[in-house]
Amino acid sequence: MLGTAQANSDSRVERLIVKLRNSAGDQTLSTDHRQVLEARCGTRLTTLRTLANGAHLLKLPQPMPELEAQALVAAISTDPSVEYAEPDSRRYITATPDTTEPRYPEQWYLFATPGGMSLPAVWNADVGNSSTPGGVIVAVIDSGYRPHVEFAARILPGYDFISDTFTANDGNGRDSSALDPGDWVTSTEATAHSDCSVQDSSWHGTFITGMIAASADSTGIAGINAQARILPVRVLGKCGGFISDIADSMRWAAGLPVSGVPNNPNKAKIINLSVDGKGACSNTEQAAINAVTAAGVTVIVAAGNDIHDNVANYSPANCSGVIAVAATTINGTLTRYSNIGNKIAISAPGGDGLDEILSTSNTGLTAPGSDNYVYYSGTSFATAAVSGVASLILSVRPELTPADVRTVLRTSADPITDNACNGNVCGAGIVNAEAAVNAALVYVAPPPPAASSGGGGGGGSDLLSLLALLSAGSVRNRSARLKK
Amino acid sequence: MIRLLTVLLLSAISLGACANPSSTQTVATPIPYQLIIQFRTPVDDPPKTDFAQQLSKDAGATLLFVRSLATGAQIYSVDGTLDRAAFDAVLSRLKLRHDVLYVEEDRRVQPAKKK
Repeated sequence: MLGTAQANSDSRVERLIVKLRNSAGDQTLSTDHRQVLEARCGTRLTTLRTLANGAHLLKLPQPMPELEAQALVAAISTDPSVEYAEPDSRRYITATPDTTEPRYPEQWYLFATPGGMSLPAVWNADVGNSSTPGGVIVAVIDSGYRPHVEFAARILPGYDFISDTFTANDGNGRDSSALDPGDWVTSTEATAHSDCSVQDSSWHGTFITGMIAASADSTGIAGINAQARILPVRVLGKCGGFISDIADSMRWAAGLPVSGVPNNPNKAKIINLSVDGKGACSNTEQAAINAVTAAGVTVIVAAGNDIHDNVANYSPANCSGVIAVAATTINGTLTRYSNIGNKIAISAPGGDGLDEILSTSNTGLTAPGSDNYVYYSGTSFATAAVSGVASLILSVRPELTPADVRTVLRTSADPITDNACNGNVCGAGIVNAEAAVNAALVYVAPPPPAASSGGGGGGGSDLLSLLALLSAGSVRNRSARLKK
Repeated sequence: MIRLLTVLLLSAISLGACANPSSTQTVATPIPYQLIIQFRTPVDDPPKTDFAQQLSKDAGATLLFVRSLATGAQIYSVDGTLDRAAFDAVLSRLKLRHDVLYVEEDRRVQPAKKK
């Protein structure tokens, strides 16, 4: 659906990306150097900002045809100081009719009013052209995966970070297979371990993966982003998982080194962490979150399912810098089970009662069986919903930072009309994919603060960016909005 | 009669195969408490024997080195027979060491799927 190279014949280029040799970090482009580039291409250029890799984003005096922009790029590239130059192309969302999936009508969370996320409008939208092959990489840090036909082709090489053999249930500790052998718990095992109860295998990671990335193939269900690539990272097994394994796995997913584990060449842009545990945010969790967000990875986590308890009591949702997600119903109200509180960034469909979430699973009660589809509910799945929408945002604006993604999600959310959410305890509202992609297209990042206030991703940044959005024009009235 | 017995036998086998995991007999392997210690200065990986022995002595429990985290913090497992209060006491005692920046439980988290 997203990311294939497909240019509109009438597409216009508004900005160029120029990377200078030996440039890195956040060095700004000097006026002298900008004038050198202007002399090369014979056009006035305005410096917008420096990208994470040190490249400079330059605005053209007016939008111009792709061919004309390519000529400017070629002229700029002749300067010996230039490593590369290219048009800052818009991304293109092709019209993949995921609504033809046979079980799509059961996926209310994608389309229902008011409780759904307005996905069909995104699937059928044209937002410009793309030069980025492959889909956005989402790390699903969870129980591993079964190679379900809905997404097996887009699974990247993952890793099993479970170091404890009982929890791992695959006969060893850490290894290179993120396949899920099952997480069933017998009565004997449940008795032997606190905070652990008898259960059949959940195939939790497989369910999350299907929600985010099920294929557009006219079979089964529709995924939120059928082009997303999944980095499966296994941390949950029998009786859950340790925060130490999760912390290491987050770093690995973000492309950071972890001793004793081969480096991950497929750095994720998003980490989906549909877990919770009672307690304060540990130093170990916070350090990992700080490291991966600094590496440009957006961390999206579950609020937990403790019946409107304060999310401040549950980690990792209470850690700084994460996007904590509460769960809503088909009617757009808060679910009976979701945790709430001021640390919630946003809400999303998580299912409740008879209206649960449908996604991919496996028939095995213990060891794996065959592909199937089941219904679950929980903040786990509200989290996956937000991760899927975040991957759509990053498919059209891959340069956005975790703080930007948070701002785009929050400023485009639908309001929740539920007294249970009074006091700003359900975040900015219910995630809306169409509005989020529209907002991403016109988003202007706020200038970096003069001095670091710590924490990252706070509400102050949201306000600044909302003002930037407003100054750029109404999201819903911009010509750059999704073209249906 | 033989056919009836065969059907009953096959039914029993089938029921057994589809039984809830609660009926599965497995030897329980208790998960020991684990803790994460960030020392103020780097510690050998694995720690030297005398260092580990002193750490256990200060903790009031036998600590077994598990591995280091990417941050350099170290994970230790504690005797699995400790109860919660005893484990909390271990954490408190370790916090008194001047070379410990922080020590915390290597807590378990669960999938946020509604039961």
